[in-house]
Amino acid sequence: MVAVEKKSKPRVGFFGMTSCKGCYFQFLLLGKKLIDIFDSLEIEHFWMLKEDNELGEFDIAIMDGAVSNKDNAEFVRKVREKSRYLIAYGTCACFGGIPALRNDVSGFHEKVYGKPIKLKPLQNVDPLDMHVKVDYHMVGCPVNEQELLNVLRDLLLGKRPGEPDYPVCVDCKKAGIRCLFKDGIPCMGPVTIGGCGAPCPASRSPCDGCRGKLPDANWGSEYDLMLEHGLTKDHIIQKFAKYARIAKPGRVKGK
Amino acid sequence: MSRKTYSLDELTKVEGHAKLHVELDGKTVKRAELSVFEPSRYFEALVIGKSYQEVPSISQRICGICSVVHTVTSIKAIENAMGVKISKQTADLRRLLLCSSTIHSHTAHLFFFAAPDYLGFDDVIELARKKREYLDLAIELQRLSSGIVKTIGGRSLHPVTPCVGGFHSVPKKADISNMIRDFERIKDLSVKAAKMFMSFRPPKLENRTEYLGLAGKGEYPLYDGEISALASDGFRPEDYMKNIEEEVIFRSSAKYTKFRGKPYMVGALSRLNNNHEYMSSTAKGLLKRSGLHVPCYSPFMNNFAQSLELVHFSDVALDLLRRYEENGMKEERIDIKPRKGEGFAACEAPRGILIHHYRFDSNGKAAFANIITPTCQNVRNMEYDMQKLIPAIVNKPDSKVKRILEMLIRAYDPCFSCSTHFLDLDIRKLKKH
Repeated sequence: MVAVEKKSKPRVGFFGMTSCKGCYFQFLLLGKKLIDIFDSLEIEHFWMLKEDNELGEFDIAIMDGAVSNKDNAEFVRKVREKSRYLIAYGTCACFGGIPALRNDVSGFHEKVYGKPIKLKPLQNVDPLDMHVKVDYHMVGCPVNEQELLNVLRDLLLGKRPGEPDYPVCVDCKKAGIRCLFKDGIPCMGPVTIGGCGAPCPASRSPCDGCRGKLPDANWGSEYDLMLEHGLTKDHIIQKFAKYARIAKPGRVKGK
Repeated sequence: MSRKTYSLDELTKVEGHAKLHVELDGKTVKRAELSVFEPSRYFEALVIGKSYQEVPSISQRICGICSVVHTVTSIKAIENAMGVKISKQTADLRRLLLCSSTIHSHTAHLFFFAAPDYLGFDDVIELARKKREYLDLAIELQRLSSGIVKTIGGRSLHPVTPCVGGFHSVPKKADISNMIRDFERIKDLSVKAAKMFMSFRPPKLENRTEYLGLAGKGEYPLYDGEISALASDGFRPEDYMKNIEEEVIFRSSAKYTKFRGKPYMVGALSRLNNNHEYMSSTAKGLLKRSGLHVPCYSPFMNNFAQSLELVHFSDVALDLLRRYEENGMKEERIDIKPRKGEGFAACEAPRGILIHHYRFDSNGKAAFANIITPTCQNVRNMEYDMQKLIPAIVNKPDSKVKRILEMLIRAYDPCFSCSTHFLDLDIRKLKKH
């Protein structure tokens, strides 16, 4: 599959909806590579960096954030119609992320704003592919900026980028990181989509599951391990449902 | 009556989504309202019922650019609620983390968002094509400062090592020498940046307001201290509710605040106004050389204040690191017994005072949360500044007026996703009959 025509510079749009905008900032971390990106891509839309932003046609659309209201839902549909290749950028876009925790809370408006006020009716916070077809799920809270670079390079070369399908444990083994369970620290690595390079276990902090649920993970075994390591049932459930309420992206609804 | 409307669909080069609505009758400003349109994410409700261990990593997702200070403030408030005492090393490491993340955030704002305005470019992409050396400076500062956040925090965004009671792991001795080398380089580049921002000529505006910032013990604090006000008495973080009123505004998803009934400013300029005498000698030298009179009442000078802070916080960080150069840092054991309680904490985020306030039940589950972010505090003052600024610039061409108003909002380094929440500018001129 050739996603991008080679004859001219690909037209790229960065878009954001409901998120913390952290994945945008990950993009700025590309440092000197940013100059190559500015040279090889035509960035047509990027609210955070550009004065004039046109909603034209895009070869690659990079969409950050979840769908949390009607405006978001309409916006992602519009961007999808105008784009040849759509990247769900970050865990919020792929799974709903932390904002989707609100789907479980009742009366949250009153809890935050004090009294009920008239607002547009609130809907659940959804991943993008509950509304449109997504071509690539770039998971992570935040995304790994190297993965973005690799995906953009693949697309420029006319290759179809592949999504990681292995747990964070593989990243730990590759990097020679000692298993945290061996030191009695409960970790979400075995059930979490890898490809991040395991920065958290590398600093002796347990994987928190921010890249979402690995589709064929053994949840029962992870549950037992967490219990053995002293977490309460309630706390384990909180951990399992923290970033990704939906187990596998890409299966929900086609365009 | 003829009515003229001109609008700008988005305030760009800021973090998050907001909209500006201005109505003029001749030279009189009838309305100057800034509304935040970032979708509400209800963080204060999201944490309820969650284990205290999960609260900081949820709270840090309020904001992608100041996730470090949200993490640290959240942890500090939890420790306050549970009576956890931390070591001096932990406090120092948190100060160091805040210095590096403030430098990271300031450089992103100063170079990628604010400076193209002053240099007459549309955006950083145009700037990158025409003034490469300038972008090189920005990229190097970003690389070094985010690298340090990663060394201490485990990741350069949404840090993972800080936890209730301390750190999951601390920098190794070699990391400390590398950080000293990097901060020395950051300081040299920061002096260049401060001289650059010193040479810019922002629009003129003097608008005296109240300036709130942390202060205490003869320092220019980020991590602790009481909240001090330039022209009146300060207060302790736990008394914030008695001094800062939060208002729910129908047109906005952010809650706006006032200090004892009046608008006020937080951020680099407020810190400078409150604490300039405690800046490092290099930063003080640059301030003197700029000829800027402090206290300074021009919100546009917030950008220059940020550039001075780059220098100051590199000095603070170097001073902290050198204390650990010889003996290194020790891995500390953390043992927390959750208990029922209420906790408050205030830190200086890059954009100003950040308050976290929680209550926990005896199992350590969050029962209540309230978070006051800097942009929520600044919105009222932005409106107050616009009231004063618009009559002076109203005779300029429409495009110029829009550009100056955008520069004003941007000078505050607003973080609309923090405040819950891009700018549609809708200016209506109501001409006289």
